[in-house]
Amino acid sequence: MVIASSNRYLVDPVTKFVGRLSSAGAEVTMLRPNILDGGVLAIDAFVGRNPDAVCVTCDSEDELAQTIEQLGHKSIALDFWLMLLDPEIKDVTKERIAIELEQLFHDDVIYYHVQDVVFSAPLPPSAELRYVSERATGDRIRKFSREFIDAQPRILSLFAIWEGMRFDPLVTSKGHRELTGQFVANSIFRTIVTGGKTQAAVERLTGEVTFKLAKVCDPRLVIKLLSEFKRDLPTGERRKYQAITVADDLPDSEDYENDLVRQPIRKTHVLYQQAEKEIIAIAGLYAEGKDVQAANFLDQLVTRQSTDGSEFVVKSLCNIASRVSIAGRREVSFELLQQAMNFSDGLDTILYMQIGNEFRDIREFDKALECYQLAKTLDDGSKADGIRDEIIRLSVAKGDYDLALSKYQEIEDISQSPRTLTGLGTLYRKMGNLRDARECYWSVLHTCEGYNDVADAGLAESSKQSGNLHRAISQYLNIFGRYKDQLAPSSERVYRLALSQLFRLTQQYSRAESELRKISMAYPRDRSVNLQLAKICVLTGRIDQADDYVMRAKVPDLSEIAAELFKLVMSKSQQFKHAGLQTKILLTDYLPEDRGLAGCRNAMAAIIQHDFEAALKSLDDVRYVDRIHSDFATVLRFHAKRAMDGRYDYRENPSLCRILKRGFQPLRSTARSLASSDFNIAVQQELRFCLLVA
Amino acid sequence: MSAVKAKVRTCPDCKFGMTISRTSCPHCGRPAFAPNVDLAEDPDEREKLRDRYTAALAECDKKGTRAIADDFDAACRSSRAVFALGVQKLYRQVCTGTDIFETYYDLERLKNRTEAGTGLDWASLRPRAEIELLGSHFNIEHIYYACLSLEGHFLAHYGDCVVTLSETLTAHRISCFEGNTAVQYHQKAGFSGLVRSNWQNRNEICVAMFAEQLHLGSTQADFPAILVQRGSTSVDDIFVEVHLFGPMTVRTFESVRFDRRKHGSLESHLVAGIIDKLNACNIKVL
Repeated sequence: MVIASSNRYLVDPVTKFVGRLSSAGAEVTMLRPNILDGGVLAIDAFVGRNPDAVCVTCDSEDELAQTIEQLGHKSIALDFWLMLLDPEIKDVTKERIAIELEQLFHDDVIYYHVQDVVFSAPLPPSAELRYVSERATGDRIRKFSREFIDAQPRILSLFAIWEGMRFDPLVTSKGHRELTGQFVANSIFRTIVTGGKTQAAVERLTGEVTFKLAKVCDPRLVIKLLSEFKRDLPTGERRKYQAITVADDLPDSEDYENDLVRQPIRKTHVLYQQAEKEIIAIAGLYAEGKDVQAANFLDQLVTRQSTDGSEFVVKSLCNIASRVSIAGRREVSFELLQQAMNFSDGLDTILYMQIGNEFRDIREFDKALECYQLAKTLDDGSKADGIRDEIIRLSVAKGDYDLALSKYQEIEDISQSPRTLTGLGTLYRKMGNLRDARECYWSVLHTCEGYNDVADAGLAESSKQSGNLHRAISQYLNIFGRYKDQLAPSSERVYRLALSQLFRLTQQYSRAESELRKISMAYPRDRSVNLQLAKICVLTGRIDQADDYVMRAKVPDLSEIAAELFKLVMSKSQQFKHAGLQTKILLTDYLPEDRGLAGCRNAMAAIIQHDFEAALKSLDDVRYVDRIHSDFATVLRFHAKRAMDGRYDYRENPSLCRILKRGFQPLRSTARSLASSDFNIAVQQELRFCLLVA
Repeated sequence: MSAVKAKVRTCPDCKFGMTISRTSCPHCGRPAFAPNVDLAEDPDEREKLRDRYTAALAECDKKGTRAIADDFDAACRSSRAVFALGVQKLYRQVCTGTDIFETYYDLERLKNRTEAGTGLDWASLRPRAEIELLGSHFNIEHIYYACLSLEGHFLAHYGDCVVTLSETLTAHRISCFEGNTAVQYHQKAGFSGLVRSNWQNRNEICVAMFAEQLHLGSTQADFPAILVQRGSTSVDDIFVEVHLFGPMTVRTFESVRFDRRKHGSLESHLVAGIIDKLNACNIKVL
């Protein structure tokens, strides 16, 4: 009988028996110790006869062999250490064992494996420390021995406390035995007994331990365990943390926690403000690359907030992740969101959605979908529409507009949901269907009695896309006038960026800069803000200042179209040291609404290289959803054709005629230069336009 | 799994009754009991075994091998319970019953399983064969396995360290079974038709299982290899399985035999440690 097999194996490092699990997981085909063995046993029988078996996943024979070897070495190292404590083993045997153990202990994995086990329970009275304390040689064994002996009182204390919590509700929900396994596997006991020699040291550990166990148990269990543990420890020296404000050069202030308890009536408000300050400061430290310092402060924040459950911790982590991603540290943002997800005990539908949104914003779409699906499982139905909308927005974020549209079209009574309808409007807009987009937005405003900033902003963007730049500016100014202080900070940021870009496009540079300055106070490390400031500086001749903003925006790392155009322009500037030019960028790397501009960028790069055939090819088969982008492409096409054939007459092209007569002024000037065959001037104007258009 | 009717026993000291799953009398707290032996000594099981035994001997009469069968029967009355295992498993077994080690080994097991974490629900992987064997899930963790052996023959699939159990410390809590219970259960989903015995009647189960393999040319020298037959895979081994109920420590051993040539450098240190501990307990090392 052939049994379908899997890549999962049962390995017993002590008996050395190995078997491959069937794909159904019910049977085991024996592989070792007799390599020719092929007998089949039920899995429960295998486990019953091999009680130390673990289940591992290996994709190759080599990987399996390595896994078996490592498991074997770890278990034998434990045996050797215990033999050194066994009074029945002779010293001459112990000496030989110690030599082998010294070698094994040079592998940190093995060293800490043994520590994890033996630091989790106190040494029984019958064990003998004589050999390891007096006669053992070898640096690693001596180090192990010192730590082991030193930790015994704390091991005993922690073990007693943990046993005493056996029937605590926070423990029984998961099971004492299962939690013990988790604690040992996550090196919790070892961490506490080696690092927690004083009360202050235990307090410093709390954040680290809470994080490690976030996915395992309620953080209040950790707090409780450590509080009990530290009770009888010496006080120790507590570090004086600076009050977390913006600058590092402020003098040391009092422990800021003391500030909170002075006015207990306002404690909640103060706590909130304090947390907000900390969040901003921690995000700032990450943005500056001061990860160690940021992590320390983050640990403190987590420790404090964990006493009230997971919800506040998760919100803080999301908040910091959002700020950090805006500042360009995507990898840190990802890690923080992962940590937020690990607090599964405290997460609800809304929090999962929030985490999902943050993952979406850093383009981790699989993780975002995972969060939305988790939100769905916890939802009692009240958030179903919201979750559905976020999942559709995920398709939009991935550029899969057709799929997103089909999902929207399945929704009944979509007109009853302003949020969903604005989402559909935005999708239409991205697909270039401005008429249907406007219809959605107007419908939302009608439903909301004229008050919906998202719909208003959608209309403004539609105006921009159709080439009505001044109308778009008016509409954005109306938004700020009408909604004033009611706008969410993230919405205000988006609208001001859009308005600034419109000002830049219409060559109102001071107004553009003014809008950016308003955002930069709240988001000093914002990539988009700094990139746009850099462009304005270049446009206004302040190249040195541009340099500073580019450093903050980390331009070389960005792959957005705005940054690509900037790099293209700067590569021509001898003064600029950061840009490195890539000849061609892939259109498929960009969202559909940006591919038109990406095509223009490639055409521009080709024109600079005098490869006019390539320039024309770059503009073929590209769809433009924005009038300005389309006109830019028309001008570039004109440039290439004119350069290849000096007799090419623009009058044959209605689009060119329109641009020359009443098109957007920078493009109008460029077209005129081309009509006069002033190619050098035209290139300068086109490059300048690259700084305006995105 | 077939249901086994709840069996009862009477305490020889206080004369009160209890279910056989009890390992000591709940009334007077006295002696330790072995459920596996109770089941083997059940009248129905005795009768089943007796029938198989007499039928096997009758068959030998027909074949003309009765004398050889009688010799085999006599030899099996002096068979011993042995088990083979690897060095590291032997070392940990030798350490069982000392408080130094058991807690740490249990923690290591928990750690390894938590770290590996590939979706197995370990708590639910209770050996069904043992539950069927004992009639309930009680006490299944108290069973140790060995095989009946003549002249120290053993099943090399399980390791090259051979332990012979002390008859004095085990005879009262050993039962024997027709074949590998794990394999039998897996292949036949039960034990119907198979026989079991207590220690005193182990010769009957040997005859019932192996009499048909005796032939006119069989001699005493062949008996050890007949009683323990190593198959091409561990699943194909043929032997009389021994179930030892209750605790087992190094003092439960009568002797230990090593094949020293096969041990690598790491294992050789374990062997040295095992020998030290065996010597400390006056257990024979062969």
